[in-house]
Amino acid sequence: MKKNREKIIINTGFTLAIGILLIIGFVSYQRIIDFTNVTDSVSKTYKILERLERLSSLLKDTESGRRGYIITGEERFLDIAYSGINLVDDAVKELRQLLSDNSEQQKMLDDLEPLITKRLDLFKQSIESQKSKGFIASFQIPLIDEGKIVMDKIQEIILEIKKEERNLLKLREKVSKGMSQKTILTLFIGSGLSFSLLLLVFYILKREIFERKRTEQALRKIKDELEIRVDQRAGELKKAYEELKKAEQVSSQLAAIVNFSDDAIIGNTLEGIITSWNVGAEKVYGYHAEEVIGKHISLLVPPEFSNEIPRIREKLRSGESISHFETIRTRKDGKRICVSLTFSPIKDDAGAVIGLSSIDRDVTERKKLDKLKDDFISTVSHELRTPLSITKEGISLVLDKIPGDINEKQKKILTTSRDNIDRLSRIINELLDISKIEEGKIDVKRESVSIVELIARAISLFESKAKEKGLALEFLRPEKDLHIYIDADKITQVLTNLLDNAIRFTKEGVIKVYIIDKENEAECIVEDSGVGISQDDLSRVFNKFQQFGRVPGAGEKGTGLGLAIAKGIIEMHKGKIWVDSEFEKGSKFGFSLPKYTYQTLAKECVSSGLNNSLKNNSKFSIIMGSMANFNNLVDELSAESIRLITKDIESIIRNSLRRSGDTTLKDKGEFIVFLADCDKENALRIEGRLEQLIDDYLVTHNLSTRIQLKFNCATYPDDAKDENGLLEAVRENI
Amino acid sequence: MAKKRILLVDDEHELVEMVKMRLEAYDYEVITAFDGQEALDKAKLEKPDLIILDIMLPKMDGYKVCRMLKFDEKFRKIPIIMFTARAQMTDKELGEQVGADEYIIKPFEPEVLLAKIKELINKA
Repeated sequence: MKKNREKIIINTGFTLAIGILLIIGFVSYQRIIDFTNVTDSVSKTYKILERLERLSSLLKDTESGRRGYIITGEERFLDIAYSGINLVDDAVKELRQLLSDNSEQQKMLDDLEPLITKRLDLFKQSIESQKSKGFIASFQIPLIDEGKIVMDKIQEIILEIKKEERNLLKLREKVSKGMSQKTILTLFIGSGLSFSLLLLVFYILKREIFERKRTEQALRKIKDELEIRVDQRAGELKKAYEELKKAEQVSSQLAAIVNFSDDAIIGNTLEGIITSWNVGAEKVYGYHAEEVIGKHISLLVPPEFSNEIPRIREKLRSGESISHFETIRTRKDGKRICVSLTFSPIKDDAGAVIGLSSIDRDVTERKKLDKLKDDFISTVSHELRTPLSITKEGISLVLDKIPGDINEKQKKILTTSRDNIDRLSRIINELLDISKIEEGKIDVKRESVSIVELIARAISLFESKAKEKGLALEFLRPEKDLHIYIDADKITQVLTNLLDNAIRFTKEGVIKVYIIDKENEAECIVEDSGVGISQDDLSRVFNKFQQFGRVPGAGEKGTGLGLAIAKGIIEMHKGKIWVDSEFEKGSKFGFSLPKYTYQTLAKECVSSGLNNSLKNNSKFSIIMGSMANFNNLVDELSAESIRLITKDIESIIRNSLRRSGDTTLKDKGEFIVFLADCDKENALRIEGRLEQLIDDYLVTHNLSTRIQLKFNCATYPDDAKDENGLLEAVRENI
Repeated sequence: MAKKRILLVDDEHELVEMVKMRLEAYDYEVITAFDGQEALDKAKLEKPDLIILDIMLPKMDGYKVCRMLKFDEKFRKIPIIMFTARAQMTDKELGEQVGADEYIIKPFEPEVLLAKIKELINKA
């Protein structure tokens, strides 16, 4: 577009410049011709004037000659007179010729010519009379003075012609002057214009050339880059090809793995239509691929488990995975099997979930074995404990001298025996604990607990033991109390273990316990000045059956499981446990516990409740109790009385809940009860009972006017399908 | 003051004998039973001041005995100490659910047992 316009400008510019130059040339030519004409006329005028002058002087000469002759009578004067006469004719002729283009002057000349002729005739007459009549006759003629009159007229006309010619000359000079000025102006303007045009064209051309050069350079650069890119791309393509080949290999390997896996690997669309079915699936469910592909997955789901499907789908649709979800499925032969399902979303290139894959493992046998193992452990534990308790009680009886007196030696031996029976029973307890932790069979029952009080209580249990050994046991109690959501029993177990170790492995010095209150977590440290742990052993401290720095001689011995259990418990709390130690200088054990806010914990509790209900195909309800005017209450009552009231209400709730799976959570003026396997009807009944009990409590304590506790309940899947929905539903009417 | 009467229930005869010996040494009157049914019968008949009740019993388990007594208006006031060799949380919770007052894991510390007996009897 721009290029075209410039081309037009260049062409037009050139054409215009050339045109203007041509016009200037033409105009100049014209002007020169005009000028020449004018100059010619001017020189003609000068000539005319000169001829007129000459004519006049000839006439004068003739007169003078005549007069000279008349006066002197000398022939010499006659010659002058006659030569003048002869020349006058020529002069008149010449004048006529010169004035041929001017009719006005021509007329004047016509008037002049007879006068001259007359004058010359008179003149000849005068001379002739002189010659014939003598001097007097000839003298008379001039006295009559006719000649003089004619002569005056002649002079007059000549003057007039002169005057006219002078005027003409003036006019012509003026014209000539104007003409040359105009010519100069035309030349000047024309040249300027064409010069500017040429300059413009030159500029545009120059720019055009520059741009072309630049474009050319850019093109060259692009070309170079392109070449480099082509090289790169070729390399990439080669690499991609190799990768593809590799991927094909991997994919065929994977296909083989999928095909020959013992687990069923099934592909579904998001709607639940089966799209792929491996050999494992044939083995697990008994259907052949052609029997099920294109059918709905609900084919495998027993009717009472059918509401699992939408929830699983919802979870996967949001991109989450579900692993080891244990449930029941039906085989082709109608037999029910226990399966562990792991679902992953199948995503397209854009990351949108377009389907799901499930790996189904038949865990029927494993479940049976698990049950067997559980029964075995519980039986073994019972069978071991019973003889142990009999033995212990027997020894205790003797030591307590109930059957009769014993001597010191006997007492010492029996004390050792009893200590080892205790050790054996601890080992049994801890083995049971660790096996449950490893199987994930222990639930963390979080409640808001003062970690400061909890530590203080744990320490109080060890005070006498420390005193016996002559150790200082210090709790660097923080000024501010710190409440966190933990399972108090389990954290106490961890602390007990750490304190027990610290005392056991410290011969002298101090055992310090302190809390570090961080933004998102609380750290608890137990520091001793004991034997320490060598660098080599540090990494194994939390492994099972590891014992370090055994104390020789009598005394309580460890089981080698305590720290492994502690680690398990802390990890169940999503915390961390660690140790710093210097051999023979002391050890520092620490653990951190994340601070849960009431909100996140509530959500987590609902979430785990929902997962359980999904697993067990049961309903799940939550009840919320909320003090409508809690904020006013803070102003009216002391913090301590609010704490007591809250505690009382909590224990009322706790006591009225009969089952182990039910948990409660409390925060400022709010209680949430989580009821596993509880339908709406049941939840409403429990809600009513709680309301009644708390009402009674408030009335007895004269608080019913001050505290209004409102309750509401919500049930999965009746009221909502996910954790947020359930929490919103329960809050709605409060 | 009359001696306080304790019903001691366990299917392990030797253990019953030994605990009986200890309790008697501490001035309690001890009645014994070796299965669940016998325990229930004797509890109703003798109206003891406290029952020490094992969980794993022949004929009827300890939970059931406890529940039946606690749900009976006439006997619900009798304090019950559950006595078990299974140190599992579920057992403790189940015990609390059926209304047991205390819970002692075998092997037990004699002092702890005695302290709890004393506390419960005094409370009642």
